[in-house]
Amino acid sequence: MSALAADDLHVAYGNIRALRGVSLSVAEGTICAVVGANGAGKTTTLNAICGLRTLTQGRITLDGRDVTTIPPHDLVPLGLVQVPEGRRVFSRLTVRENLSMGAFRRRSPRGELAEDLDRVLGLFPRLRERMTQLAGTLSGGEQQMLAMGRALMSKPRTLLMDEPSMGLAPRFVDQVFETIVAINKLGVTILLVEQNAYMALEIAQMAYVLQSGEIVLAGPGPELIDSEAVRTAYLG
Amino acid sequence: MASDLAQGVARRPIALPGGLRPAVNVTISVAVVCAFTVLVGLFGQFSDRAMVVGVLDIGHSLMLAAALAGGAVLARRQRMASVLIVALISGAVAGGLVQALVVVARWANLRWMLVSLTPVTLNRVGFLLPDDQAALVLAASGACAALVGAGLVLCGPIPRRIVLGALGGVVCAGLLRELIRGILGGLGGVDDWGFTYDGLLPAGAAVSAAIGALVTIRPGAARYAQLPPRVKLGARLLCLLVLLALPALTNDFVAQVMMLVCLYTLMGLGLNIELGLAGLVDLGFVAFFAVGAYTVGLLTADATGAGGHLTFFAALPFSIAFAALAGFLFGLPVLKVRGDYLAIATLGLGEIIRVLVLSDMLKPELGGAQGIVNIPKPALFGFVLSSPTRLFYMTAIMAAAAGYIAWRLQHSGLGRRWLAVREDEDVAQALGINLVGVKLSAYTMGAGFAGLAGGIFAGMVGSVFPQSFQLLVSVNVLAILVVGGIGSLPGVIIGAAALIGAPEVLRDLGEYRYLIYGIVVIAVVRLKPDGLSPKAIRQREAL
Repeated sequence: MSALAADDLHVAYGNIRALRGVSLSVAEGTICAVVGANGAGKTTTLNAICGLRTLTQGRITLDGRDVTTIPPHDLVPLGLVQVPEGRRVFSRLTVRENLSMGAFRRRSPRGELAEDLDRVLGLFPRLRERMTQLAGTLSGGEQQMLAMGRALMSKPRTLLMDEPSMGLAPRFVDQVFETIVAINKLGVTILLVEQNAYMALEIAQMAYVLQSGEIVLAGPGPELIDSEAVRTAYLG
Repeated sequence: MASDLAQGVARRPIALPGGLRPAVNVTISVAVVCAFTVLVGLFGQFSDRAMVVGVLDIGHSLMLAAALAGGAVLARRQRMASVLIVALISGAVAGGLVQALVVVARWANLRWMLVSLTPVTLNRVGFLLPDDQAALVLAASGACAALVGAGLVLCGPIPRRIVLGALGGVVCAGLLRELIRGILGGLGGVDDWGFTYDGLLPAGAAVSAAIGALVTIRPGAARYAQLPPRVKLGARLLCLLVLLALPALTNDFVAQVMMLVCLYTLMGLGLNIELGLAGLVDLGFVAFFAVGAYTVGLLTADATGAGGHLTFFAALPFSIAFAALAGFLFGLPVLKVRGDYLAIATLGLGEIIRVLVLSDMLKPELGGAQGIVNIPKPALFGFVLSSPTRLFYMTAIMAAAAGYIAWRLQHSGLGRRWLAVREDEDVAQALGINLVGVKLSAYTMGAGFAGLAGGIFAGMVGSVFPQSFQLLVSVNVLAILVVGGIGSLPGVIIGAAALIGAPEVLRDLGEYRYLIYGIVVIAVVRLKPDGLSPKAIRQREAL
């Protein structure tokens, strides 16, 4: 069964039709990538899925349940969490506070939360050293780690990631993708939107190529890397 | 050829350290500042108030301060002993210039344009002496002040602090005459010591200078720092107790001022929830204050249409509730508006309330411009809180309770939701925070605090008029937060004391006391942009 499915999504900004019937499906426990050029509608797709954009048409199902009309904040308790684009951490709060912000919608005993914090910090050892530092003083790579860690604190079953490698040094890009694989290994389904097509396709079991608001190609990630269309369009 | 000539000009030896130009600039600046105080009437108003009786008036103190600052500026440019001579000359010339300008002004007769430029004021600049003697005296005092200013920069930090502390002590004692006399009087009928009705006596000035110097060098500060925390806490509590006891020990004026500070602290706590925690700018905050005040007015005063006969304390919860309801309704339309637009939208909503209470439509109920009068004084079990002192204690207790609630809220889950919304609305929503609910709760609770303040205000004054609910109140509360440090609870109290307390205490300065207000705001924004008591980076709860 697919953990997350989008069926015929249409989104318009005024007269501009940003999405024209995007359909995709993410199998449980896999990494799915949506690649495409700037302005292809990648971020809009993610925002539409988590309810931040109004659909003119379409249907979204999470674990078989129709969530099309559920407001974004109520999707978090259902296990769908987004890591927003551009390392949006709360820069004037400490790392610890940022992480605790991720656990808002949970009613778990304190001990369990501490355990989760420990597990998240296990994935991001660098954050452990910087718990009391202001998030705004972290490096770009660390901020991306923090944004991912914050999302993990809400115990998502499906994680939406918007351009996690954007603006990062190559060294950190590798690290971010390694971390994404590690998170996936913990059993979290991942829908990844990336401009860095090569890296994203490499780790994705399933991938979609988006062009002008439409899916033009779909298939297992590594296969798409070799496809001529992707090569000429996005990899050069 | 030409360039040689230019170089020759540039190289012309100048005997003054640092060059002639800075000295000339400073001299002219000092003279212009002094002349300005005379022209706008600042001097005229202050020159009949004594800083130290028989020695110096406040007007001339301003001029001396300008010369002192001029000397310091010169010395900071050129840190060498010879700059002292430059400062001396500069101060003297500036003093002479001032008197020269007086002569010119008298001759030109500018009174048709500058009303405050009376002959008496002009004569006062020169201490009512003939022009030539006046010029000498002004030049001499300017020279001394500039010399001291330059010397303060050149000397070591300890003498500098002692002198500045002493000067500060005299200025404080001189300006806070009424307050200090009240305290001295309260502490055992010694209110005539060191002061007369006109101001500080030379003996009192000497004592103030000594106290000021002692405070700045703080002998024993190192030893105090080593005391165990429990003793330090005790010392702080003792200070707090003394502060709280002040209104009871002194006069009604002190109580009145402290009550106002408490009232604005209450409002500041409310706005702090909206702006400091949830990041929602609100320029219409006075509306909630008005709702609270009118609620108490309507429910307690006999004369009104509503004709409630509740007691003050029975009406107060309604104040909070109605204001909170107003906050909720107020929040609804502006929920989707952000940033600058939010500021303007709230500004409009704030004005709506004021216009409503002024309107003829609601006149039968709310009294229109005549307002509601005859609101009974608060009474608790037959004990009427009539004097400012009693009202102060009531306000202080309420403010303390509100402060505790605000503190608990700030550290609650809701408080952290507010923080998340303030920092980044989109991310907050992505983390599962309901923006609508969180913003509405901030408006509702913030308004509740203002409603409480408004209710107290109505009981305290005994009447409510639409004029009391100007935009200025909202701006005041906003300025309190900015000065104290946005999002900081101690900052609210400090901001209220600095912006509400200080101008009240400095009544002597007349209409110019709001200059102090302006100077405080600008100085804080410029020098301490995070406020006087910025919120420390919290390293709070381990999840």
